[in-house]
Amino acid sequence: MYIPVAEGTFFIRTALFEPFLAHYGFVAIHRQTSRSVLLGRQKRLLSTHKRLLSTHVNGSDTNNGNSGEVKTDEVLIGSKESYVNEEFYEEGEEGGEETEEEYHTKERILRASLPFVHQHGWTKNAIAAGAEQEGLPSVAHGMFPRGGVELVFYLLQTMKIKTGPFIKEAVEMRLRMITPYMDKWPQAMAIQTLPQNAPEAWSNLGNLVDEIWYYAGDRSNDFNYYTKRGSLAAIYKATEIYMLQDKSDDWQDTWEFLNRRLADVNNAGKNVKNVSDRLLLNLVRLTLVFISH
Amino acid sequence: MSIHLCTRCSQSTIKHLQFVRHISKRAKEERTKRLLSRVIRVDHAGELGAEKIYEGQIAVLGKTSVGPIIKEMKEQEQEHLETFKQLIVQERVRPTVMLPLWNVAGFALGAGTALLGKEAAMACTVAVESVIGEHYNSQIRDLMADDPERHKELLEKITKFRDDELHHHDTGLEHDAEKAPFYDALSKVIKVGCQGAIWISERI
Repeated sequence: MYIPVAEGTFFIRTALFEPFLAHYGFVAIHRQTSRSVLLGRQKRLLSTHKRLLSTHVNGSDTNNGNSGEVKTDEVLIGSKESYVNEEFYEEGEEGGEETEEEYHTKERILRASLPFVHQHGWTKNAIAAGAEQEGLPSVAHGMFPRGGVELVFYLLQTMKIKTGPFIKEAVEMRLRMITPYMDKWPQAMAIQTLPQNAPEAWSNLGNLVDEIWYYAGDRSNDFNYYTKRGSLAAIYKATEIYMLQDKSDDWQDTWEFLNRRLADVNNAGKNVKNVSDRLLLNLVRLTLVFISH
Repeated sequence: MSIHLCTRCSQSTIKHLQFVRHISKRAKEERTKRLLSRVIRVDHAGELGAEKIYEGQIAVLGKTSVGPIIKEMKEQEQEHLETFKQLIVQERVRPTVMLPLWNVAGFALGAGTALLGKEAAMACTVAVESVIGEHYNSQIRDLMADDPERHKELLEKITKFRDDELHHHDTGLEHDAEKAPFYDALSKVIKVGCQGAIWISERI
């Protein structure tokens, strides 16, 4: 069975491999949504879809039998195979929960409202002005029942730094500390590889990546501890080596190299959900850093 | 010969200086950190292994008369595991690299001995718990020798866990562990295996 993992990469799961690895202490949980539940969801979406279609086609709410009815049953259910292992299918579209579209609209309005804070303060008026700025009616401020405080919370939330950018900035900061000695750094790296110095060099690298991950918020206490630190150590070392021959202005090429490496490990992880793929993935991550550019 | 007083601990010097070295604060801190890191790492691995062993036994013997007893022992091990998981994060200790292996090996040991019969499963429990009991005792000794005040909380926890493990050991004996086939050989092999696993987990 092929499981798409990243664009262009496929891992093959065998019946032997998977149950053995299921006993490893990896965090990944393989959850299969039952077909009946999925079909139920699809049917609900379909009925909403049909209702909207029929009102559009006929200008009325009544279902028009076969002529206006789209044969969507077969189309969607026919592609069920690709959704059986899908974990992106989330519950929560019933009732009063916000949809993806609502969320984006709210974000747009709040972002546009921020400049108006100086004029109106943290109030509904600022949100109304932001809504108008975005081309929406000013009564859209009703989407924010708590009023001005939603604007405050939105601003605070934009100030939170996510793990990815944090790690990137930490590695960049650490590498910049070496730059005063860049002319002789190759010698420093060479000395560190001597057998009598190597163990301490490795443990320094270990401490460095541990610090970065800890302050990025990682609190793992199982094997993920090693996969995260291992991949970051590989990225750090590769970037350091790249930096030795970088002649660009303010080391711009190095920071771009770092971004590419971080993106590699992120993208490789996006679509992997189950244990066996994750194991292979982590091995691949560690090698990717050394063979790619 | 004139007698001097050691300024740090106010004891008369001659014999004293021959046997005591006041190590620097930094070196002492290093030593404590190494000890703590070993203790927490191996205990975390041990509790995980014990939980997996019970899981393996439950997989085979879950529906028999000893099922509920093993389940109860497993739940206690889970509580111990949670404590150590939290300590790993709190003391910034790295867990052992062998975790995936202990996961599988523990389950295999539990299931394997359970397949030999419920007496053999109990024999496995007795062997493992006796090794763990001794191990906790030696840890308590080491921690007391290092710094009893600083490790007070940890000592309390380990003492309680040691008592729990000895309780499991006695439970195993009560349920006819000694009637297991090849009890002596089985017991010996499991004990040696556990001691090896402890040695490795302390270091890696």
